[in-house]
Amino acid sequence: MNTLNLFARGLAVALALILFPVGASAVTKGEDIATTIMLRGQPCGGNAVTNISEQKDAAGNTVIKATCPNGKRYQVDVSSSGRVSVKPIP
Amino acid sequence: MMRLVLVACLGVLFHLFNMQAVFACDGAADAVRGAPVIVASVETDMGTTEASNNVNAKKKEKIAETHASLNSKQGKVVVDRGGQKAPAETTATKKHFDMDALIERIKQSHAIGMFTKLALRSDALDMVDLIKAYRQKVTHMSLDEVRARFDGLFLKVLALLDDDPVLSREISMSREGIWKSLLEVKA
Repeated sequence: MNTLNLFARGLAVALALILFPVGASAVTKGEDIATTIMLRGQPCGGNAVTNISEQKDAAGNTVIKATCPNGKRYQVDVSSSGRVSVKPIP
Repeated sequence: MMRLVLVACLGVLFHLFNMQAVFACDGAADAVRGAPVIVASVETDMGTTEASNNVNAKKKEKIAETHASLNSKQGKVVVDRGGQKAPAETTATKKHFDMDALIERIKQSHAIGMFTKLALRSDALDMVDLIKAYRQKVTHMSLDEVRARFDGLFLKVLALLDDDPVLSREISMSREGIWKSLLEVKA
């Protein structure tokens, strides 16, 4: 009886894994910013940034500052029209 | 014995699941190409046991109709059975809708983050500006160089959509359509 119960549980878990595959996990903010930095051709040295600070002004422009795994710190500017630019912070 | 039965059941379930996924992918791919989803349903029907001559004849007619509609949607001139030329349809409106659908799917995809999407949007807008400049002969870049830039941006998008393989595949198949629609942008 116990063996049957164990089989039933195993079957339920297997069915759950088959029918409900693990979906694509959402990208974290650190990964998102690191990808943006690399898209703009800047070296980052990893998949996620740290020390993220975000400021938004009255005009709707957003300024994000973050540190890459290679130690370089970058400023990501997102204009109110949605244009993105990246520049290293000296 | 119980284990054998369990393994067999799991195998059958897994096989069924894979078959569903394959048919779903085929249907989506055909929808992107502009073909009706009827192709997938015909292929699904082929897997059933009923195989009378009438059914086969109907399937052949459906496949012929599908090919005919595909050819007409691709702008080819199709000769019908009576020997008369059917008019070729333009696909500008259809491609436009597909483009909008693809853009909407990229917006809703969880494979890439918001800032990355904004960066890609900036790149796409730059590409549109570059093509406008090329058409107005403001830039000295050749069409091949513009196309190379487009291909680079396209590869970036495909690489970023690695976690969304279905969307990546559909975008990959629409490469020429996207390029043509970019060239059709009014200067």
